[in-house]
Amino acid sequence: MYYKLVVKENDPIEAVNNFLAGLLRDGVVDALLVPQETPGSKSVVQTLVRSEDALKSANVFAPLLLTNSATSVGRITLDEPKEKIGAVLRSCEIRAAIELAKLKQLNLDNLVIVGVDCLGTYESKVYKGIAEKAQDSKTLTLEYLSNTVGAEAKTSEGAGVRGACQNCAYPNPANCGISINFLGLDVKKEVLIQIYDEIEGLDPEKLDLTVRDEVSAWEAASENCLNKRKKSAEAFIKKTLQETKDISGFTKELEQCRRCYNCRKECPICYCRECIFDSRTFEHNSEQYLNWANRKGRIRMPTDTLLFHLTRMNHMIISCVACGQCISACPNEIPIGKFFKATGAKVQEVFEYEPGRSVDEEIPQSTFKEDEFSEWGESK
Amino acid sequence: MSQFEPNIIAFVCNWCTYAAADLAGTSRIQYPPNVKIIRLMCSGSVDPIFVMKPLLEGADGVLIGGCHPGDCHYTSGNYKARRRIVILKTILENMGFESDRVWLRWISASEGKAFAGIVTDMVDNIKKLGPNPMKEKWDL
Repeated sequence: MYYKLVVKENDPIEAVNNFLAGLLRDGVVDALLVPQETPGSKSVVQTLVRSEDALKSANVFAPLLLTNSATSVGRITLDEPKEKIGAVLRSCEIRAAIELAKLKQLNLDNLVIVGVDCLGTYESKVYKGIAEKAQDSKTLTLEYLSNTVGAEAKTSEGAGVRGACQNCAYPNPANCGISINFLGLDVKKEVLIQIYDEIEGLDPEKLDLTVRDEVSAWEAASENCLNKRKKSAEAFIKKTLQETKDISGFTKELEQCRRCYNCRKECPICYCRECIFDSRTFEHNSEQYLNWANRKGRIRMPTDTLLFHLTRMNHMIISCVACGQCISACPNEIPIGKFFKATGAKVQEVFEYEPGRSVDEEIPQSTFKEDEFSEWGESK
Repeated sequence: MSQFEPNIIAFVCNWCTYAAADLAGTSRIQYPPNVKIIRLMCSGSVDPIFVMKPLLEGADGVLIGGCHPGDCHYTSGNYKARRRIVILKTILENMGFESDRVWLRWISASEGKAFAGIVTDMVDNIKKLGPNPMKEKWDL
């Protein structure tokens, strides 16, 4: 069902905060994971909120995503809390959450996902620069949202928007219980709320929502944005695959890798409780290193940089939602995620699998069909 | 210059392919000595990292041998291995590696001759491909 959330005094953030406060007040959720402006530097971080009063500085539209919160949702929900948890998430976070649920590292029962339209987020460095000049994150966000009116809603190709966002074909959230949509709408006047299924305790009237039949402006803007992004994603994938026709396309980027494993740490999908690269598997005795060096004349230290990235790729690429956090997390700005997106598209195509599409689709590695890939094992 | 002799690492399942290799030996079937066999309990326990490590170290080929579909000692290990190798080889292909260096083959315990044939075939093919370029790379 479509609902209209009336915005007063040109402030959609306040209107949405009131709506979210209502969810807590009416007991639709007992706790809410929601992005909020920090008191010190106008940054925006995810917070777990228990009371309406603690929602004052919430800002669900802020163009900053310091971390993919699917991991946090997993932590909060995994041991089946008795209380109902709400989580305000963007599309990339929801898709990662769906994958984590399949990996049994997140529990969707008792979880109400509140999805938000997303036009892309800034690299944190860029955001910091903008925030320093802005009065607060609210002003900054409203400025950002002013681009969204009409079907030609700008899709933030602008400077500083994360590359992953510029090629993201999921501006609208899916697989959520409630969504907050604004694409194509004049956010100074209204925000679109969608309620997908029956949610216990949710009474639209109490939340000041009025039924809305006509959503063509939002639909048109969303489709427009989607088409634009799909096109740029396709071109991006094609270009990247061209670069990796030879392995040096990848290895030359890895020359900057400092082995901090931030890409792995920030990856919402990377599912191993203990990574093999944190184990002692790759600690060898002195003689071993000297022998290796002897064989090739020299070896790079620490060893196995390419092996680390390729192993990570093999393990999680099928579920990669291309959120780009691995790129943002890299201190040396290696565009590691672009290789995951391009090659990931190819691998996912083989299995006709789209990560985050549906919780009912099993992750390809965890299942099989007897009659498939019949030439493999015979001639491949 | 001496002729290029490829170095092949084979991960073989205890119940089928290893037994086939054993049978080839006891039946005195000749096959090229280029293959180094590593016995695992199941092809389903081959993590892609096992395949990539030798490839990046400069092995010229990696063979994964398992039971024929339907014959897995653990019911479904080989089906899972198949999907994993499909993913691995799709990645290698799209990242600019020679994915032809990785072979997945079903060889049952009674197929000593087939084992020898496949090894011979693989050695021939890899000789044509030439040495693994990773041998020369130190910056990995």
